[in-house]
Amino acid sequence: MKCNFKISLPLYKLLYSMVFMFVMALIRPTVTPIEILTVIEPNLCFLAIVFVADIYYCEFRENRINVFYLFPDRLKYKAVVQRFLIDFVYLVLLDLIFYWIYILFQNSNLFTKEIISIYGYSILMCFMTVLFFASLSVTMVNFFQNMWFGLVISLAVWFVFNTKVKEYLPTVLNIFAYKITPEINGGITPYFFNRALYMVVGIVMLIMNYLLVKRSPMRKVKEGKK
Amino acid sequence: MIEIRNLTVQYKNGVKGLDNVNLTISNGIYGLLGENGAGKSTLMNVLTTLLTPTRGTVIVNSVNVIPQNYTKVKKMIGYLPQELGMYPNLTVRETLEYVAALSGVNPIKKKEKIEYLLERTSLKEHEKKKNKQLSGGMKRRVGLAQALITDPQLLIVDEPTTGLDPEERIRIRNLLVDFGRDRSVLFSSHVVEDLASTCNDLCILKKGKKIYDGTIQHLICEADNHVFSCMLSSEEEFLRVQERYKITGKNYSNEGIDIRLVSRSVPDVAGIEFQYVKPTLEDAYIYKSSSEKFEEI
Repeated sequence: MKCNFKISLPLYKLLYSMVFMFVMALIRPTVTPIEILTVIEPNLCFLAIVFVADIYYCEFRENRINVFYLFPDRLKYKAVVQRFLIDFVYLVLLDLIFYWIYILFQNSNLFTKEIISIYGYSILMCFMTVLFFASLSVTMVNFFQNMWFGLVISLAVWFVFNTKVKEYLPTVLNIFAYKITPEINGGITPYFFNRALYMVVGIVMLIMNYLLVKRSPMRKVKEGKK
Repeated sequence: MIEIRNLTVQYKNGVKGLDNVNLTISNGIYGLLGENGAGKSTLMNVLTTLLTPTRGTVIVNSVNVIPQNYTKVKKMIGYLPQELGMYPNLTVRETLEYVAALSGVNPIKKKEKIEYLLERTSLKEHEKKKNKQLSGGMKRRVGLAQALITDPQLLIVDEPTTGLDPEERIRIRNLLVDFGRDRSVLFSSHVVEDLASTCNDLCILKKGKKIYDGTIQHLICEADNHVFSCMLSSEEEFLRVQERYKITGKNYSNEGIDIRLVSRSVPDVAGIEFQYVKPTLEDAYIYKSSSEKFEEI
């Protein structure tokens, strides 16, 4: 576990993730606590795609894959899942911290009932959506055994949910959907059902990675793509 | 013991990485020699189950290397590829602990095994250094230690001495000799000198085909009476000789240009006198791998 910690959370990742979140908080100021959710969740998902993508691919990039491949499949997969969980927990922690940074930028009164309840929403939402996007990114990169293919596909999915295209999707398929609730939470409340649905998809993809980690890294060479 | 029968690996683009290769490798260090693209890496990739052959059989210690047995085969193998990246933020000890855990080494025996390997590879004093702080030779020794952590029956090392200074090269070679006493070691290299000082038997591959398989001594004997030297007075003379013969050595001295060459018969260049010399393994390798060219010349 300690080694997986050092492998999946190197200093440069810690630095760029914090800088990214901080810059986002600076360039996209919010006015109400509920607005923080609409900003922090997609930002964190974007970060998750880039942050988690190489937890297995680093073995390819750093020329260790031919040795890593020889390890028993179960233990290889266990290491990849551990690395994933370490990065995932770190991203959720970022949400826990940066929510308050947004609040501080708003000069709001801290610890009001609304702020605390929206904080709870924020943790729950980011837990589910970050898990989906992180899992999508890892799965795509591992499937193609190519960092750029995996990143481009995952980022394309993210863009779909953050552009007008999402309006053509049924609400249940819109991962960042909110419902109008004029009486509470400043007018909108997140849909949790669709987020939970995507979380389940994320867990399934993570399980499927067992098959991807098991494959020979030289599969493409044998297929003549040398 | 490794038995390789009619092994062929053909890529989809039609190129044959290996073409009908037959080999028997017993305990001890077995050398694998050949130019770049000869098929050495392909053979090692088949043995490490990274590649599935198109045709032929490979049997490692009575286990047939087929996809159903890959798990079993992988357990028997320790592998040090030519370029092995290390986890930059882990220390030497952590690297070995991590590899041991990933290999499923018994946690009780793990500590003892790591201590033994750190001692044997002279890495004990560097165990707390991070991999990114290590020299090339130290990294290679860590690579060798990680390959041996499971006590493999077959150790495969791919050009382990490339880019190392002479002292480190000798150290790595000696380690291989020590570790090769009770297991099979497949030692791939194009540094002929390394093979000469570690192996008894070797195989030469060329364009995917086996062109020699036997003892080093026999290979040298084959080249006996086919290696010559002479002293040339000018570059023009050298060019005349080079046009017709395979030069294996060239040295400028006060007397002229001292050259060494291989030839099927006594070289015949007007005005130049050639003398027989005792072949080295390098001469023998060049002679063997150029044999078919002699016909053309």
